[in-house]
Amino acid sequence: MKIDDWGINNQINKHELVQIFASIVPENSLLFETEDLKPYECDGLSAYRQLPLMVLLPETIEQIQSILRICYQYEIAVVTRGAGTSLSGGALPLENGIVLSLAKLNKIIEIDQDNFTARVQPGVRNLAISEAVSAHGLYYAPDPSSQIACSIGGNVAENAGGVHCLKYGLTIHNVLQLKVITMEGDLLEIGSEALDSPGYDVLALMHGSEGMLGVVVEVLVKLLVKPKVIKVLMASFDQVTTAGEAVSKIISNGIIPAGLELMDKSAIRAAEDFIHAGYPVDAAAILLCEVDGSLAEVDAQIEQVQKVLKQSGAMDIQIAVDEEQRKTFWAGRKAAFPAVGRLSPDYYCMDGTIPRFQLGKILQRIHDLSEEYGLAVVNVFHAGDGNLHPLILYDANIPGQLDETEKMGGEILSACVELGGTITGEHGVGVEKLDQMCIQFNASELQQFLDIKTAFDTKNLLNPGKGIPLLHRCAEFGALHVHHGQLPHPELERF
Amino acid sequence: MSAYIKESDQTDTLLAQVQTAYQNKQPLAIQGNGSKSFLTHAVSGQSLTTTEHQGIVSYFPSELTITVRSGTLLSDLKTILSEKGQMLPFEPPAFSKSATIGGTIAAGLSGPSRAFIGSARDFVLGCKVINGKGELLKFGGEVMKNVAGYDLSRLITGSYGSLGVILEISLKLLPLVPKEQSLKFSLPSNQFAHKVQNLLISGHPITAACHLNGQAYIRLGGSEKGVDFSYNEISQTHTDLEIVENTFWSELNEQTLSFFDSSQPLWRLSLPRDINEDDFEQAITTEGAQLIDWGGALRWFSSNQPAEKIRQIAQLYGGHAQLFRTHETDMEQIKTIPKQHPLTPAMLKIHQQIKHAIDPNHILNPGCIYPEL
Repeated sequence: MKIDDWGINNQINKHELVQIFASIVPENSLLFETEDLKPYECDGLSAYRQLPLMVLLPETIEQIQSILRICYQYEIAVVTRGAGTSLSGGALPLENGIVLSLAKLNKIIEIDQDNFTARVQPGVRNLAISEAVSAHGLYYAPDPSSQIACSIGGNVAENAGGVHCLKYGLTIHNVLQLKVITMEGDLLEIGSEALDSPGYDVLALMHGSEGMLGVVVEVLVKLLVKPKVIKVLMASFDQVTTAGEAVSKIISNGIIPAGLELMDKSAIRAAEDFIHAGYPVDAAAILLCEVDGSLAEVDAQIEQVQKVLKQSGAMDIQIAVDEEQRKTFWAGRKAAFPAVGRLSPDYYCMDGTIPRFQLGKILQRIHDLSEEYGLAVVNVFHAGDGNLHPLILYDANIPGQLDETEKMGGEILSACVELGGTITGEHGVGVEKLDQMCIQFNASELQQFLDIKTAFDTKNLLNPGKGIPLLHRCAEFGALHVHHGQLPHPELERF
Repeated sequence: MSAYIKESDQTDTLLAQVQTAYQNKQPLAIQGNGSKSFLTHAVSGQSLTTTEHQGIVSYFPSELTITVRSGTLLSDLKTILSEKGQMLPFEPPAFSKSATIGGTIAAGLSGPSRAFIGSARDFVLGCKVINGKGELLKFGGEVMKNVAGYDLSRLITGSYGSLGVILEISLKLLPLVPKEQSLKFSLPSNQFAHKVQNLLISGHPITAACHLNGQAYIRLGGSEKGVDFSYNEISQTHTDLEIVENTFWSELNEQTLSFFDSSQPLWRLSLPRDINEDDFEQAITTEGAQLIDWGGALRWFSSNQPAEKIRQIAQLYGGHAQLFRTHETDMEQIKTIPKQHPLTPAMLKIHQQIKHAIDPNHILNPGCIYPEL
């Protein structure tokens, strides 16, 4: 697929640009030979690949400022890259653009145990923060499944979530301050060490902006106190919808679990074959419910959750007897994706979110689509916050199957929007869901996003072609919202 | 749906008014019932009020979400939620019986639970607004996780109507906790922030913590068992511990405690939690009185000291200072100075560009936060 880079026209040739950058960064921080560029040709969405013009790996904020000023002057598109784990192609290179890798900015600058904060560079891995502060009894809460590898800068760009979001929030809820460099090379300090800042909440705007508004060069994260006690229980059900209803009942009873995950039959079987977590392979669905807090708090909640689950028709409930079993219960869930990888040559991971009470409907729809397309689907679900990850199984070596898979995925996301949800809960739009953006938003809303983009980046050089579709794309996709029978922007050509 | 909240959809009227204003480049003074108007500078423009735009659009207790029209009274909303055993987790102050949810979100204020549970913007999931071009726009949604498009609903929270007329707001809710227990014990102010941190580290379920007149006030919230356990443990180390009515926190939040009776200008200082208290107090409280909230991160300070000095000290300690209330009797000078802490030139530039992107004719509450916006 050809990525539309919004018509960027470089005002300098590659050779001259290499010369200029060579005076800014050390030799080993500048890659421009095809073989060196190869590792950067894709991110976690490996179905899309593109070699960039060159890759820069700056070591200082000043180098990044200089690079961006040069790119601004010569109109070069910039794709910022953290660990490259994006599942939506957010860090996919552009043919005529550079990749700005922040991998070398990987230091934890300061841990402030009195204020429960850590100041880190963007290339620091998510899990490395928790590891570094663990001795102080603290941790960094958002825990995307890729937390061993993904970087905190990328987490900000995507507003990453994880399995503990319902109780502890997303990245946006756990960051106090960012240092950001604009496309023109200005350094902005957004937010502060205090809990709020004067003026607009630009900190919130930066989260999930997919590298399109600025380059994050420093992050001050909030740390939480590690809970004294954590317990997990596993409940099995003979119907997925019963499990879904149980989730709603737990929450209606005033319990906010630290984690609440649902897996369907095929996910249970795949995980069990792979990890041997002791999952009930005959169940139609299992719920993993984790509660944490003080011993008294956890005891009270476990008792209550058990009662609710029994009333909701759980066939069997097991409480992990010790830390080892707790980890085993989770290991199955956390390994669900690689486990599915053993079942099928390729799988395509979706990321829609729905209001939880629509779970039955969306699962039915996914089931119908699966039959219609002849592609199997495995469902894992952050049930507490309504975030679905259907995995569509396919084989990229069969001509046309990836296209079919993407088409089916698009239909799943459209169904999520119809049911009052959204096309992406935590993976981002990237290049992957641009068409679905046309379904979720109308032309005025998309134009508002584009105007915000231009407010930060007047020449539209930061990650163009990602996150927000241009209106003509939506017109071609034929999915612009029609309001009261009037087509928005009638002046646009439609194909 | 409860009968006593009026259902009244004024979208078309409000939309028409903004569209006309956009065409005529006519500034609009946007307001709910004005319960927080003292926080902004007066806007000279045609009045646009959202107070008639009322009602609950959707409420799903099992989803922990509600969507409500902006003119709905905050007090009505709280009643509806408490009937279902739920609450607005950020404990917004009302400052008046007539406070609306639209004004609450536009002001973006959060109460005593803020440092432990989260802020107004943390619980905003989505919104429907009219931008400065008179377009009806919907951002975010009613689901907990949503990264489609830029997060304009949280950007608009706390922007005092200058980035859009808020029509509807979707919020994340939390269940009311089964038990709350408030207590106080004597503690020097320079040990307060540290004390709160230690209590948190020990796993106590703190949902509010303030310091006033040599006393630390703590609210515990959680299951009955958990709260009782914590209460017993804390009372063993603080022999003078006393039980405090839970209403203490709403009096603090609504600024009806006697501390707020002062006739001096009231400043709100937002600072890192754990600063060098002795140095700070020496620098700032030479004249005036301080109440510490948010476990150390928020200070209410009533004083006649010059604004520049207060702002300079707040900045030196890593935070900012907002002039929160002035009184009839205050000197004229204090009534004319900017209420909000000045932005750095780089941030002001970004603010102006954001404002321009959303409101190109500068008709939405122009100048209400900063003269340049």
